[in-house]
Amino acid sequence: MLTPLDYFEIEQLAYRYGYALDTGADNGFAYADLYADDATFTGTNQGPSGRTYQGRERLAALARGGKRGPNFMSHWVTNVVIEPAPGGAIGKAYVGIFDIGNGGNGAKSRVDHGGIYNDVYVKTAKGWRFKSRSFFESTSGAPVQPPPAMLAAPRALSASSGSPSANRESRISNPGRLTAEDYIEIQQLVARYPYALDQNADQGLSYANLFTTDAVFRQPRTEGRQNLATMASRAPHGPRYTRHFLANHVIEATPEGATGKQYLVAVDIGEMGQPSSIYLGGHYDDVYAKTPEGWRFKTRTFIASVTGTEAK
Amino acid sequence: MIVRYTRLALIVGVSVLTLVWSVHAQTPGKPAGKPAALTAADYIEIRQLVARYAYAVDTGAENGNVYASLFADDGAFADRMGRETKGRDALAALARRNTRGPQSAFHFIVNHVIEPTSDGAVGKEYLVQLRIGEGERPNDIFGGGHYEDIYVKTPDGWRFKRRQFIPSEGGPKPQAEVAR
Repeated sequence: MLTPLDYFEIEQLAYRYGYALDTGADNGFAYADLYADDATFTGTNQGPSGRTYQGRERLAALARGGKRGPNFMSHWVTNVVIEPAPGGAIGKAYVGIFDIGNGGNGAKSRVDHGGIYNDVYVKTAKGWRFKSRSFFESTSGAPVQPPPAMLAAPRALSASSGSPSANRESRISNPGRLTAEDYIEIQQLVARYPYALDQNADQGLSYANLFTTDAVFRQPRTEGRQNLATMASRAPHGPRYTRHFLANHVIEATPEGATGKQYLVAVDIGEMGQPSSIYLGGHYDDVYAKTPEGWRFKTRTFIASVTGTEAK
Repeated sequence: MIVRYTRLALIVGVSVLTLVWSVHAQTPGKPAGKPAALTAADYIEIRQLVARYAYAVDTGAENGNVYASLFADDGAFADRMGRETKGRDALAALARRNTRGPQSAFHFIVNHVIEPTSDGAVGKEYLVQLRIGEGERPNDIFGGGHYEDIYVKTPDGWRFKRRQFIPSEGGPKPQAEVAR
């Protein structure tokens, strides 16, 4: 049995993975600490029979081994499916692995590669962790290894898992943590952002209303709902336009509310069979505030991806 | 809707909600009334439904039947021209035609907005299609756009009642691009 909070916390683990790997933070140990003790990562695409990394030191070395940098954006993760399993949970996620040039400063950006993660999750004293994660490179042909088994259509969760009383209990047992309702509202706030900007049906009003009245957006530094609405209306938009693709939405509780971040890949989608291109990539850093209207952006800052160093 | 979720957390018990849902489930096509609230479990199930769509359509697993099982019995997929494929047999055939291989990842779905309606829920997402590992072709972005969905709660869980894909079309070109 998984509670709603279990789903959100496992999703968070899958989203943190990108930042930990792309920054190589804490000398790779931020990445290693997403795994339980003795857990494994397997790259089924590494060598003829794949390669497995086990243990904190080896996993940290893996995170130090690739392209990385404090603002590098590469492992863009979505389609996270989760299912309860004996001992914890299993799941899958899609990963697009981008090579984003220096923040759109004329450098070429591209899809490097990507595929599917096949995961086993375990709940430890510190929270949900990977027990194993295996990467399967996407291929249109016959797989080299047996492909991960499909998960069936989602089953109905038990009625009790949605009850407010369950959430109250988790609030009491986890002071300072977010409830399932907080995760939902903040996810929905961020999910609405691209529509308000790209489709902008109301002169930027919906866009501006995603922010608190005293919010600050950067860059360019823009304050106040009227200025935000004006800024949104100057950006390209149309009723069927899609440009801002957000993934890896990490949310953390703070004493004042919550903070969060997402990876952005802004894509100029080719129309009528024309090629598509990456306009921009990077991440947003957010501060959220709970207002009488619901959760809103208090600050939102875009930081363009900068390719870091590649370890020898 | 954000306000609604807050109210849900504060005042509504799940047993009441279940009752409201069952009433609405039994009266399809009733005139639009006050939207029911969604529980956290509803929200998670709908997110899981949408995430699973990608695997089902890309792999065409089980002869397309995994894809078909994500739809209600009378569910339909509408393509970019609005042409509908309706019913599970036709949907399974669609998935068999569209599969890119049992280990392919092509449909990357993000920005999932969910809203309750009087008899279920609606949602929308962005789709970007990444072409990875397709022969000698360099990996690239094939295309994208957005989905508009109608969800229905069945005895087996939430399913698509209708999903339509709408390809991206550019907005008016601005004089200066400032917002991100």
